[in-house]
Amino acid sequence: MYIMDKDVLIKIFTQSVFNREFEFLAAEYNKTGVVRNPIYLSVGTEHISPTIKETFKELNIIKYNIFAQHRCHSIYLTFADKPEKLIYELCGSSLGCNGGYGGSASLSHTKNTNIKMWGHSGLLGDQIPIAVGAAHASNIPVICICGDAAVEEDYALGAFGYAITKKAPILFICEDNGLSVLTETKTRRSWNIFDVTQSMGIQSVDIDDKPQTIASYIKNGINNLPYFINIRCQRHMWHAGHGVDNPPKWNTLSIIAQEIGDISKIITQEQKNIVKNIWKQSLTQLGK
Amino acid sequence: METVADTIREITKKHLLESNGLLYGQCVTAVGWIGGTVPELTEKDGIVELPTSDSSNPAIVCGAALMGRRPIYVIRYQGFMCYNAVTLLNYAAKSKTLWNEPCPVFIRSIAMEGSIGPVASNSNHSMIIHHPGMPVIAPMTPLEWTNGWNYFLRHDDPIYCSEHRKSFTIDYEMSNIIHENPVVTIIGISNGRIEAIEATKQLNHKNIKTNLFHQVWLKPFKPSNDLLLSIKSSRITIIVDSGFQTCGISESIAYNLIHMTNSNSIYAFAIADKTAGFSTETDNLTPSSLQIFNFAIERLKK
Repeated sequence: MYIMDKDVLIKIFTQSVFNREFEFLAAEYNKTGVVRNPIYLSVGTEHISPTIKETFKELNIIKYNIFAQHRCHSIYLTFADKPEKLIYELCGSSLGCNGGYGGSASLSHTKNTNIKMWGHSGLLGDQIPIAVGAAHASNIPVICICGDAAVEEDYALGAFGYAITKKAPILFICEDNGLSVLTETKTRRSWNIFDVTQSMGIQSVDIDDKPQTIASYIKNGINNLPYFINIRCQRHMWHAGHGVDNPPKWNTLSIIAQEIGDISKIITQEQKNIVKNIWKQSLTQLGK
Repeated sequence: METVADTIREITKKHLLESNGLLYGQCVTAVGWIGGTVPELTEKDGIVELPTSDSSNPAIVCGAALMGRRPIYVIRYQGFMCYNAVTLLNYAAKSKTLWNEPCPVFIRSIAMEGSIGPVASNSNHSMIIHHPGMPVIAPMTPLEWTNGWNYFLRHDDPIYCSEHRKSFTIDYEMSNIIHENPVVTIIGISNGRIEAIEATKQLNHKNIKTNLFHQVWLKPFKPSNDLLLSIKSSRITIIVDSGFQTCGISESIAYNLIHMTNSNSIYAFAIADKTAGFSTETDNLTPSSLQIFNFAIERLKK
């Protein structure tokens, strides 16, 4: 069994709590109309990006590109350094990270750093072939994050084939919550995506969403890119909006909290306060 | 003098070998090398053979553009744009506005016509023009193609270059034909220009003073003063295109020119609203010089 360094797990937990608390406040402000619709909240998957980030850090991979899609707030918050700009964006302000053009779904982090998050057009899954093209043309590692519905797009399937043909340096992360809006995977298709990518010759795994599992599989397979990791996860809130469909089957953040012990309560309270202040100051800046 | 094909091939070669550029396409290294427009180089040199996946390929090219490789994307038949347009229009053309990130792809989309079927026939530049964010050119001469390429290098927009197979052997430039006090003004687009040249000759031969303007830039459309003056002096103006007329660039230009000149005798004359087949009986071609001539005569009778 993979043992994760406790300090690393605490870092992952801290960022994850920040992400979740950010989303809770986004939901609250969405209810009152301060944050505009449509909004795609990442509650339930907020720990995946911090886990990838910390794992890449451990692997000493410092320069890479990220291509994601909607439900990407946690990805932005984890890899970018200005949560205020996301708040501005969600409020439709020109001060936002994409000047109000991106909204909740099409975020990019345009600051010129080693880690760059590219925008998404709104066509589900088109980040997959774009990411593959970027990886092949630049030879810079790419993390491509998608969902279980996005991988069904025909252009995604063509891109997986191209990625293995050209041995593109790309890590595919499929956040598989088993739902497309509310349509279950089994209703939409009779096949598994990791079987498809595996059959093309891509190293592919289907795993749970615990940070230890994710980190361990990334470390084991990172030297054999392209690599497809299907992560079974939970979407705690609506596809779009601030509501809740059903209680989640599991809550990974709570599991991590139990693993790191009492310090989790202190971290949670600290992060709550930090997030609350950031929202308050940002909304004041916007005159809201 | 170099033909259009020679020009494209040599510019491409330089781009790949000297500027770290890339050229993507399906079956580009096959027999003929796309009418001699692709240099006989390898993947190591920058020619990337793509799989037969018209929906993912343009997105792969967009990814290369984001990484600064200034890719050329060859689409062998413009009808393939029905699939290929998706990411080019929805990502490449919008990227700079949405995220301040340019996605410069040079799209070589090649038209042909004549017993070549429902997909490979005709130009499809109008469907690209309809969407925001992508300049569109339709060069027919070596210098026009070179100018389009230089524009691409100087700017960071994706560009749709609507080529026509009939241009590949052309080794000369085309000048506007301008008379004082014309009766007819013809604006030619793409292969419509070849037919329009002949129609202009025939009309002038019949003492119907006819001016001809070659329209290379389709978007943005910026008519010259000479063109506007010619339209104002003419009894009729005809816009000839090798793409579909219905809701196409010929009708769009006509609409704009009506408002710019207050002339109400401006007509679009382009490809009919029907599907082409694989026989001469089922062809749907660019209006011929004779058809343009007759079209002008009929309108002048009114």
